[in-house]
Amino acid sequence: MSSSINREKFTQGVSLLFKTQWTALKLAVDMQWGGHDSEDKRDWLIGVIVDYFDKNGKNTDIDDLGTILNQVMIDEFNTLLEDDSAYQVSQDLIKIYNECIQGNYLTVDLLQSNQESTKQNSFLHSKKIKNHEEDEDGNSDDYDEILGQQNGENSTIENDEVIGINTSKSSKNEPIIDDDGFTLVTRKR
Amino acid sequence: MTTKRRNHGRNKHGRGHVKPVRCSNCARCVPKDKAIKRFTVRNMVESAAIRDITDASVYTEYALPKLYIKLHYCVSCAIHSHVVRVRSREGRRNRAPPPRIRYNKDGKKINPNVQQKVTT
Repeated sequence: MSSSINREKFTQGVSLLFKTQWTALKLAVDMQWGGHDSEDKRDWLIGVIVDYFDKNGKNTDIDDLGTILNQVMIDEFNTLLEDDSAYQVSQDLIKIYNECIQGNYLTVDLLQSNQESTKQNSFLHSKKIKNHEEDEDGNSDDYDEILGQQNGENSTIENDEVIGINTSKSSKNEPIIDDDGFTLVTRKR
Repeated sequence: MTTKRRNHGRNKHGRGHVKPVRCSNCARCVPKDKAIKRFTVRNMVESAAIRDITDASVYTEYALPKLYIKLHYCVSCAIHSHVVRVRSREGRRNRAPPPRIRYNKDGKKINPNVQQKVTT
């Protein structure tokens, strides 16, 4: 049904708006002003907004929406917004909603392409990549040392197999068990 | 003697020690989990002066920057500056955030209990 696609696109648009355009909320989640579950609070807020629009449709009052956003920022993120960013964000939300009703996904697609191209998430993104790389490098280094000492002859073959196992498992927090039954102790992730 | 709060007034579980922060008001050392944290986002230029600044500005369109301030309060300063309030014994256990008084377009106060029924 077209309405479900509209709803999906609208949810995506709201999500992108909250993750990229609204700096106050973005900072609140990145700096965890709402505690360690700040990301969950943001996702909850996205759901609340979508439900609000579902209920009220075209009768959404911009002041009401802005007040809701302000209230959530105060309650969940301990953040007092003295600028008018909540009002501006609610303006954008209503605009996206009106567009999505008509099936016009221009703004949503624009936000999506912006998010992929801009360097806004480059710092955190590079941080996450660096952490993953550190994990993989650490694992393979330890394995090379252990196997090099034990089996000089078969080390090359086993290294390849071991590295293959490493790259598949290192992204998850499963205990890595050697062929001989030894468990590799890694730092907590 | 009874305990006044189950978490002893701080949010430390599973740790032995957290590093202290200084109160923004009086520079008292407070453990970071015990400090009352508030954040404000504000425009650098007040709303009344935006017009004057934009009129006097060289640039046609200039996005005025904002101030992101994180405040840590010790308990004494938080109570003194009315950030938090003393509560009754039953009221202390209420961890829900306080409902904010909102104003109607006409300037009348909306009762937050009534408003919650409307929106939920």
